Amino acid sequence: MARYVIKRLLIMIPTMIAVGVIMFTLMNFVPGDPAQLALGSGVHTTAEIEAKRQALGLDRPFLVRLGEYVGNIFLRFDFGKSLIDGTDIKWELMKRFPHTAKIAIFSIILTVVVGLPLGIYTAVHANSAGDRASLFVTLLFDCMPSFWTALLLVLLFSLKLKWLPSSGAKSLSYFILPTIANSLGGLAGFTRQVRASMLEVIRSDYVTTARSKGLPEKDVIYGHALPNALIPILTVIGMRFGSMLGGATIIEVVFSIPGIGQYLVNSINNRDYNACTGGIIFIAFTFAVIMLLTDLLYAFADPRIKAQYESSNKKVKKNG
Amino acid sequence: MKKTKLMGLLMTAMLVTGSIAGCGGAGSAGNENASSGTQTSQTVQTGGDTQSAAQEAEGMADKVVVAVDDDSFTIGPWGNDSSVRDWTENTLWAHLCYRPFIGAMLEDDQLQMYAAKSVTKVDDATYEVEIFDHITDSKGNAIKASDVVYSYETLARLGFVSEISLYYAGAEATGDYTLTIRLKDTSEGAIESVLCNCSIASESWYESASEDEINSDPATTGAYYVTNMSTGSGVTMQAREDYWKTEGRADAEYQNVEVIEIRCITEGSSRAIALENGEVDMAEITSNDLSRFDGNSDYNVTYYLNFMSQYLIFNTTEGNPCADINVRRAIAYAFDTKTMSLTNGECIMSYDVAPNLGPDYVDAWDSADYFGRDLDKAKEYLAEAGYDESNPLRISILVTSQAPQQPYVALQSMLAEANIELTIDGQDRAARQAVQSDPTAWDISEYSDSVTDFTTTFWNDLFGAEANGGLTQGFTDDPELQRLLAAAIADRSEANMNAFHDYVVENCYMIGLYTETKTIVTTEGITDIALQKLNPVLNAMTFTDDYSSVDQ
Amino acid sequence: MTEKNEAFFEIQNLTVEYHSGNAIIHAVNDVSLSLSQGETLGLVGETGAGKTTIARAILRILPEHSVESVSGKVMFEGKDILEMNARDLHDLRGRDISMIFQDPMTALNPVKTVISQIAEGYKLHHGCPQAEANERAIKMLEMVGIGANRAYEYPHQFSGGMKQRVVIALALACSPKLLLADEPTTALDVTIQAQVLDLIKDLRDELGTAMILITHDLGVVADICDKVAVIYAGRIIESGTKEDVFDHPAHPYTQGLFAALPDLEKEVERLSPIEGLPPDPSVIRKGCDFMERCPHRCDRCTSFDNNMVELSTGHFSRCYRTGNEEA
Repeated sequence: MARYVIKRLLIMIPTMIAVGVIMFTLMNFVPGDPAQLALGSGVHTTAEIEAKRQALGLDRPFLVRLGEYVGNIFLRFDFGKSLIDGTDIKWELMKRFPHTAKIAIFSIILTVVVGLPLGIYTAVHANSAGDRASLFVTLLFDCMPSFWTALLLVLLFSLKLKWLPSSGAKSLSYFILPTIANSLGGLAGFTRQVRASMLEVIRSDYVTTARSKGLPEKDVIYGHALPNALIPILTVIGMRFGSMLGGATIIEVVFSIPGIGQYLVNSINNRDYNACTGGIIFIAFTFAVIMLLTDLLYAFADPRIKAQYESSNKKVKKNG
Repeated sequence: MKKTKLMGLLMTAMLVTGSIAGCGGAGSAGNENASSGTQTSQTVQTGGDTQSAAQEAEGMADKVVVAVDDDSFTIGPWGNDSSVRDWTENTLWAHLCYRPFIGAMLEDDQLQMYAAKSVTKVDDATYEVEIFDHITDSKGNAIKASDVVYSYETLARLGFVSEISLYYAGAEATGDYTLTIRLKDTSEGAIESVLCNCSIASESWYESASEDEINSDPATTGAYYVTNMSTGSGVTMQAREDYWKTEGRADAEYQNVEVIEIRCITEGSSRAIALENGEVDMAEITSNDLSRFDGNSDYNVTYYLNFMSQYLIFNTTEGNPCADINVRRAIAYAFDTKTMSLTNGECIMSYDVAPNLGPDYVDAWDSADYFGRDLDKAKEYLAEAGYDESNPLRISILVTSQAPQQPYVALQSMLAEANIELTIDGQDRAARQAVQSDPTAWDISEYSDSVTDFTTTFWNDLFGAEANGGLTQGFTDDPELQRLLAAAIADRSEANMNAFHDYVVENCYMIGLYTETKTIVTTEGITDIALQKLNPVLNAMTFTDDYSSVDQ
Repeated sequence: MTEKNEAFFEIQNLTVEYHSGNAIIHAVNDVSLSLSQGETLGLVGETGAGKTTIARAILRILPEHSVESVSGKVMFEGKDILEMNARDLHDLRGRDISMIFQDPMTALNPVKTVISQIAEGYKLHHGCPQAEANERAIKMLEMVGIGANRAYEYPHQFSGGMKQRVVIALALACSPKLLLADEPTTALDVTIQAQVLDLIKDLRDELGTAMILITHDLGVVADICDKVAVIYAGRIIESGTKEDVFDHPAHPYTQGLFAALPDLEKEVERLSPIEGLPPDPSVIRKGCDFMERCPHRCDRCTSFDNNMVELSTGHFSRCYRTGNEEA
């Protein structure tokens, strides 16, 4: 098992490097000059622009810049400075990450806390009135664009009821509305996935075996069916969480939460090569770590997978 | 099966309604506003009009919370332009002098002394400055002339302020509290820019401080220090109890309020909600949301001119349809700017390329004839250029896709009535900047620029051959134009200004459009926002006696 | 149907209907049989005849989403299982009546250890501490020939035959009075089949469990069972002791089954299967179910009343031919 983990960690390194190289290259060949954008709006003389380019080091050949950038990140963990405002990119990412992480963590908890029981209920009572009602409501939220849902929530809870603040990130209560707005859309998909997984498992033979032993229905569902149904759902949860960590940009903009998503979008618009590439590498790294943790959790939940991880070259015990 | 189909249709209907409701909301609100006001009913504050009305208060209001449209800023002594920096730099950092209005000049004694005690001109390119001898920063470091020189040299090296790069040559400390500043360009406004645009910080502190400290808890030299800084989210400043200057303070040094909290909220409607909800005391409000606050006695609305003005440039390179003056005139008479501006709320029309902000603007231009919609004339000029019903004029306009597109759509439909087919080429800001200097890439371009001191500077940006690599922004090569421009810059007499203005209008090189008015809305307890140049001076605002912040 | 002995288990007029789309599938039609303590009944029939449905109906573990109706009585020690409340039903399952399933590969929960799956049932029914349940589980595993050192392994680590042994251990953990074995060896290869069958036989003898063995293999019936019931199209068409049915098959279907068996001693070029296919279970038929395929078909068959004819004591056939006529 330890060998598996180490192998996975080692593979992350070339992946990150590849991500960095690809992003940096792509950004460079997109039209738009960060030097001009750094000087700001309004008219600037060619001399000014040229001077800025030199100051930013953009006049050097592409490969030199690429090599220096990749070297800095991976050897010295130095993400460099923003081309637009000269701030230290790693510092900015570190300051913004906790906000994005908070939204992601609360959202995934909300999704699981609501989606899991709902999915189990609709699977156990498939095709009942409750099942159809839940489908209707979750699909309704899925169809709503998230910024619209966000604004509706603000109008109701901030303006009319005055229960919650409308924007900012000062304390935990500021994260309630953003979390709800972020999770509602994905709830439909998640619930259906839980439902589908449960349905498949409920009709399994081993569930019948469990019943035939005389177990009360509750134990059959939660003790036998659910642990099996949860296994594919773990991957779903992991992937959702991983992508949420990449920043829920729309939510961040509507609620003025300074997170990674907003930062990335701005750096793309400003052609800030360093910030954009640094941000993407950062996100790719967190995503890879989350996926690794998910896979490990998977192994913990399903002994067959654990056996797979452990015995990549050992012979698996076959039919004896 | 039928039930599921019905559900599917229901869902689709809801989604469609939802999207329309969500998107349409913004547009319809804009239209409402447009139809209600045909002329600005409020007087719009322009920096040049009002000689600083800021007053130093006896006591201190407790707190003011301000919502600003920004999402990325720095508060260290030297940094890139941003809204928050505009609103905080003079409050946190001492500068040698302070300009209380646009175009204030040193020689007319119009500059306010801030960190400098006196400024003496030695010659056009050399000035001697004496600073106060008891300046301290918020962490107790004493500021000497060497720190001032260090600040200027560092800023020049970092390159954040273009005026410093353009005008500043060097500085030397001649004593503990005296220094000499040298200019490399002696044009009008140079020394003022140099004196007023560089923050002063302690060299010893800056050299030893970590990146984090500089950006979140700096040793400030101005009247306020930073108590809380959250990247991209906001900053809180508090008045310094031990502030070194006790009398004769410049406007930027007033301490009319104890705590200033700036919150970054990028969505216009979110700012309006925050204000209405009692979460902030003051906010920039867009024209869409203004109706809730305008005329409401609980709020005070201040209109002011956006510092960026819009205009159209024609590409006069040979081979481009706009090289023909008749084509340019035809387009000029085919639309009217008022209609274009309707969706942007209240706007001030431009009757020259530049807006009426600089002191050298000739007011008579505002009432003279400028281009207006005259379809007959337009068609005449088109005919002269060789276009008619069967051969319509086809041109494209280059715009920024991130800006609201309604004005250009309005332009497009107006031109269509004159049988001109306009294509709107919208590109994102960065991509657009890349093609702006390519003469084959556009026919007409929408552009914007600002007046920071003089109209002639504005003209120079657009038309000056030197500034634009030998041609104008529209690739025009016209020696007479350059001569008139140079004359106007050298001597801003009314005659010279008129000569240049008339020449541009006659040749129809560019068409001035409009300048948007922006609004800042405050709760009724704030009666004057000290809007001296382009943004309020938060620490110099006037509060009523019974004012108390919404956020306790 | 009318056994003189004290029947401790009796099925009376069991009818089970499924729904599929808009059609009703008549899977089990009016089935009655009985069993004494310690007796083994072989339930024989081809695939789709309704054997598994009967077994699942007994324990009330039919798939809920597709069952249309269940009627009749299933009497166990004087109580009707079909009318039991949930509490009594859960007590009955696993403790009094257990089931061995057909497919060992899917019958065990892949994420639980083998010992936990066996101990679970025991602990539930005896309310004992976990340690005692585990001990019992290990004893059961040893009884079926699996060493204690493998008790904490997971099902995927066992072969098919061993998995079936685990299933058997699981079913017998609480020493049930009646065991329902649904084709326990069908999914195994031939060499393992013999082992597992022997195991079942030994355990049955040791514990005195009554058993209903569902199979389509006549050889297995001959080996293990005391009584035989032949099912066709959801109806029992012949029942009696093993000797009765094997030596004197009366119903043409039963006769056809035996005739289809390959015989080592005879030399034939082709096997002699029963012509035709079983009837469509969604259609209610008049007369004899087997009529279409019966080589002895005649006009009386269409108006046959489908009642059992007693040929000799305990030997019933649902056909008016008593086997004494000439073929």
